[in-house]
Amino acid sequence: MSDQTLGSIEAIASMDNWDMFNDFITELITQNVKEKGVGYKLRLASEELISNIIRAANDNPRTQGSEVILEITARLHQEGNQSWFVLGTKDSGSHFDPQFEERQPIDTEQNVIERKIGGLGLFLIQQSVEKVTYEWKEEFNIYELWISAENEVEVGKRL
Amino acid sequence: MALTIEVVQNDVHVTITLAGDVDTKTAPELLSKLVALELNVLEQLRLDLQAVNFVSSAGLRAIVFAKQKMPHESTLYVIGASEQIIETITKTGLGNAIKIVESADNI
Repeated sequence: MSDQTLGSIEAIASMDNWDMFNDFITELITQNVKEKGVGYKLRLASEELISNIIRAANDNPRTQGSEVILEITARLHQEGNQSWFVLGTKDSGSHFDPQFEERQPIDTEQNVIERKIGGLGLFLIQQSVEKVTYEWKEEFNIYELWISAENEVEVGKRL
Repeated sequence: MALTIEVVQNDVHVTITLAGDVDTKTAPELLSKLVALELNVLEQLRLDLQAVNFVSSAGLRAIVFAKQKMPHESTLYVIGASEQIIETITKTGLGNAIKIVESADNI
């Protein structure tokens, strides 16, 4: 088992830094993910995750006014013959477990005009990557988005 | 990437032509353009996405907002969206409420 870090960035979880986070992820995907459709889905999942973290950091009364730090890291994870491109976030905001494994999928058969639109971001995260994990560790929320690196990822392009 | 928005209104429909990314940062700009329209009496809205690279859930919510405000019998067309954007729209069930076409000629 081995890990190769491809790049990382750290800044205050604020919309003021949105372009910086977004540019970092877009560049990482452009450099490392060959297949356009896979890259699009990873960007979609990343965008939903980061916007949720920033919203939670700035809407939550407990963290409002204080600086929540968001770190984004990309790594290549090798385990046996299987390799994964892993995009991770670590933030110092309030503990929020999205309970991905227990979350019911949204009912896409129900008319979207009539149904509640909440949970769409989390749904898109789950639908867009092969695996998503959450962990609360040492007062940090830690998320990881996993996609197989078998055919889609060009190994080892660092930022 | 920034979002540019052009709104053209005629007697029977409104066409909104977008270029760039519709993401968390830029979707509020689209929403404000939609809010400015008289959606409750609009029979047809055309969203031209031919020059759009990316649509997040924030962009989808703006589209849902428009459809919710429009009359029940109205039509919202999404024109020229990429394969990836169509997949996202379909996956969320929004595809059941709007019409997806390749170009305005198909309307």
